[in-house]
Amino acid sequence: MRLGDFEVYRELLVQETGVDIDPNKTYLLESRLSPIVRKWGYPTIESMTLALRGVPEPQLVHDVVQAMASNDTKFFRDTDNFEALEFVVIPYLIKHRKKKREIRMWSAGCSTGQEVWSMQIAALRAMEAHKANKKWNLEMLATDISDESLAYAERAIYNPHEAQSETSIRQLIEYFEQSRLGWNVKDELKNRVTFQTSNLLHETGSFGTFDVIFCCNVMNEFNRDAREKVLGLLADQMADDGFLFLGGEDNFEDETGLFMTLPGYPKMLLLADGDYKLPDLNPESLKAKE
Amino acid sequence: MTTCLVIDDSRLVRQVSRRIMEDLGFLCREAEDGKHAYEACEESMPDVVIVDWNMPIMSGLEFVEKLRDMKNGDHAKVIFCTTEDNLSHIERALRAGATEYVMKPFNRDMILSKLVKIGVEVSEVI
Repeated sequence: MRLGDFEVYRELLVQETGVDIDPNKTYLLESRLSPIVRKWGYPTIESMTLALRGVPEPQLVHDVVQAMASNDTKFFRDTDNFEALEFVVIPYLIKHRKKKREIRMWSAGCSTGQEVWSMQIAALRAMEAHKANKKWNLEMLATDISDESLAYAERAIYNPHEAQSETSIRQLIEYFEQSRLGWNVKDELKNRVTFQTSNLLHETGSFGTFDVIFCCNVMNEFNRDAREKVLGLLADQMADDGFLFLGGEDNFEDETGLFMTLPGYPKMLLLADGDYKLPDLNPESLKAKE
Repeated sequence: MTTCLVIDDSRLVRQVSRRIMEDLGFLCREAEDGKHAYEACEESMPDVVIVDWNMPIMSGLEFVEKLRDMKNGDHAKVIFCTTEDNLSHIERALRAGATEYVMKPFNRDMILSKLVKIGVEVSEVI
């Protein structure tokens, strides 16, 4: 792909999603765009670029952006986050939501769903260990910019390679059912989730308040302005003692001043002006009673 | 050094598994069926066993049942690596005493992830 063409796609993606693309990943861009070139009947990727330079059809822009949006994910990616969720965050919330008995989680940029189900498995295990699985309501929102990824997430059927790569066999047989299509996430998990297409950059914040938000390996691709805007949005959606998890590849300096971290949990962000009972965030004090 | 016994009737699969395990810092031995594997365990109990399901003379399932009855037989962490991918096989394997279960095809990362999950110390994580 010529540099001029690459810049067309780069600008389009930044404008629509805030995501910036590394020029070294031109090859990836080409392979992701090839199906769109075929779908729209262009003879080459260059001719599609020409169409995008003019006044393109909104549907073409939509298709191109969706194809370029990254969907690289797997179950329990960034293991430390899920351990923190299971052994620190959910036990803390169980202790501090006793009246309401409700925990709300949001997977922001859920891709093909592996993060959604990993969050639920970790949360359900913690709730079971703390005997909070009955009479408690665990609610989830899962959003992504890509309709295609979201449809995959909602379908919740994974091939053996996807299902078993980071999942223990006992988790697999407890939370999945085998079908001729693959491994299906059980209804017990699926029924708790609402799926919704959402572009974080254009979101106005109408989803309500969340105790836990995972927005992992999304903002590493944003430029600074987009990152600050999205961090602001997420902070506004967090409960006063809520938790925001970033991914292992989110290695940026937070310049918003909205968050703080605890020693040992660099990817778990707490609101700097939040209302936490910090001594209760010690894993030792949160151990489940035998 | 952590030890591993690779059990598979396919020479090629044994070679692939052995390479993965050696790459992860294990000292490996091989057996081509359950019977030879049982004898190898009598000689010296490995820390980890990678075992196939379908093999001549003694199947992987039968081997694991016998292994768990051996003196010190609960020491070894057993990972089934097999093309048998249905739920009933998995449940039978776990009932027989398997620690983990991998549906073929597998790769190094998958084995590494399973080892970490079952608490096996891996020295060579590259």
